Parts: sequence; structure tokens; C-alpha cells
Amino acid sequence: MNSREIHSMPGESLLARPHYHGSVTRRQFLQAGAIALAAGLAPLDAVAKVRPAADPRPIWYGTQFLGPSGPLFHAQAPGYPIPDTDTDPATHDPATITDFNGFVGLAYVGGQGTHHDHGTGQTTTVYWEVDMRFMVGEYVAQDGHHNHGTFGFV
Amino acid sequence: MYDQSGQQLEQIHDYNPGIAPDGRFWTQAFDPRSVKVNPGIASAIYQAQKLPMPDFHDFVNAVTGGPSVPGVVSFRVEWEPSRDRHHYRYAPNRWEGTFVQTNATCTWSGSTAETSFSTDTNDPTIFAEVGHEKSGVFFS
Repeated sequence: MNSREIHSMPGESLLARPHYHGSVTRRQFLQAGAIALAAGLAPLDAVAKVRPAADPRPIWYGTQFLGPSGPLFHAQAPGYPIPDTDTDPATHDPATITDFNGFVGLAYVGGQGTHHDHGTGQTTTVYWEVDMRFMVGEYVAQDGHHNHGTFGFV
Repeated sequence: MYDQSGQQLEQIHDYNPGIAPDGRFWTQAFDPRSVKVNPGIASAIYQAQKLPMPDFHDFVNAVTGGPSVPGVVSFRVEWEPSRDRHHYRYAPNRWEGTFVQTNATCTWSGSTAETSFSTDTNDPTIFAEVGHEKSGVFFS
């Protein structure tokens, strides 16, 4: 399966297989300065989940991962234009919140990793893949008020 | 994460924060210091450490309201500087954005009471971009 095939497949099928990359298949689903973001990165142990003043609104569109009769999930998949294949911007929005004005990052990355089972003591090499996104900026919250916030998609 | 010992990859972990009651998908608030963006060259860093994150085992279980176990994850994603700029606009969804396509690297670890995982290597980037967008009431 290649990227072209992934793009043409319904969400239901996308669930069944990861992205293709080279000879290895991988996870599917998925697959300025206007804002002075933090001057520097915080100490790692200071980075944690926080709750903003008010919750943002989810995008009202998204993906029916479970098929055309299934529920709509408020995230676009893959949320980016597949190079040389996908020219329709309808599915290009990487953000999962709306009424938003800010910076967005999206990364689909994979590779090899080490998995350890604490019970058996067994260590194995596994394939991993992530769809990581962030949204930083101004948004209109569900209570109608303007806020600034940082949101992460994991 | 996928077990690759068989003929097909079998997903064995899916860490995500779940779907909020209002429909927000796998999206949660982060400390502002967890993201740093250099918009001029589109580089960025997104990181967290020891972040509580349930493990739903696999994607289908996660999106169908299946059970999860408590977990903790740490990660650092870095977007490389690039100037491969693209603009997208889709009025029906009331959003537009300008994005720079680039490469990204990721280190990631996750653990539950029973298992732990950490990344060793990155394959070439599947896709990565950083940009600025306006949606909803900010779209014009």
C-alpha cells in the first residue's frame, strides 16, 4: 500500500493498516512572530497538562473513521496534503479546534523502538508511528470569550 | 506501537488523551512552554515529560469508547527549518492557512504498569508541516 492508495481508501480501511513507507507498513490514521511564544523551553519536568481559561470549540467537520454510517470524529485525517496526490484542501486542516487564529504543527513520524514487558521481562523491537500536532494562539472559547492557549494532539 | 513479529503489524499500544465530551479529538491543553515556534523558518519544538496519558491499546478500541489503562508519556518533536511554503483555503470549512512542509524527528516514550516503550530510531519523515491558520470567526 502506498500513499496514493491510502488517500483513496475510506476511513474504515484506513483503520486497518498503517501508513506505508518504503518496505515497512505503518500506522494508518492517521494517519510571525506575531505571537511571542515562550522565550525558551521549560525544564522538561515543568511541562504538563494544564487547563486553559475556557475550552475551545472542536472543528465541526472531520473524519468518519468507522465508515460512512459511523460517527464523525472531529479531526481530519490525515490532515495534510499528500504530496503529488491530494490537491483538495477540504481535508488539509491539521487543527482540531476552530475559531482559532494561530500556529499549528503536524508531524507523522515513525521508526523502530524497544518494548519491554515488565511481567515477563521480555524486550522486543517494535515499529512505532505517531501523529503529533500542536495549536498555539488566539481562540474563541465555548463561552464566547477570546483567549490564548496552547493545545496538543497526541 | 506495533508488534512486527508476525506477517502483519499488530498494534499493541495507542496512547492518547481520549475524546472530550464536547467532541474534541485527542486534544488537550498544554503548558505554553511545551511549544516553541520560529515562524520565520517554520521550525518548532513540541515536548512534554511525564504526561499522564491513557493507553487504549489500539485505534479502533480508542475511537469506539473501549477501555484504557493509565499511562505516562514523554516526547519531543522537532520540526526542521524549511521554506517550502504552501497556502490552503477551504471556505466551506471556514479555514485557511499557510504551512511550511519540512522534516521532523521525534523521541517518544510511554509506560503503563505492565509495559514500557521508547523510540530508538526515526525513519524518514512521513509528513510534517508548521504553519499559521485562521478558522471560524477569524476566517474572512
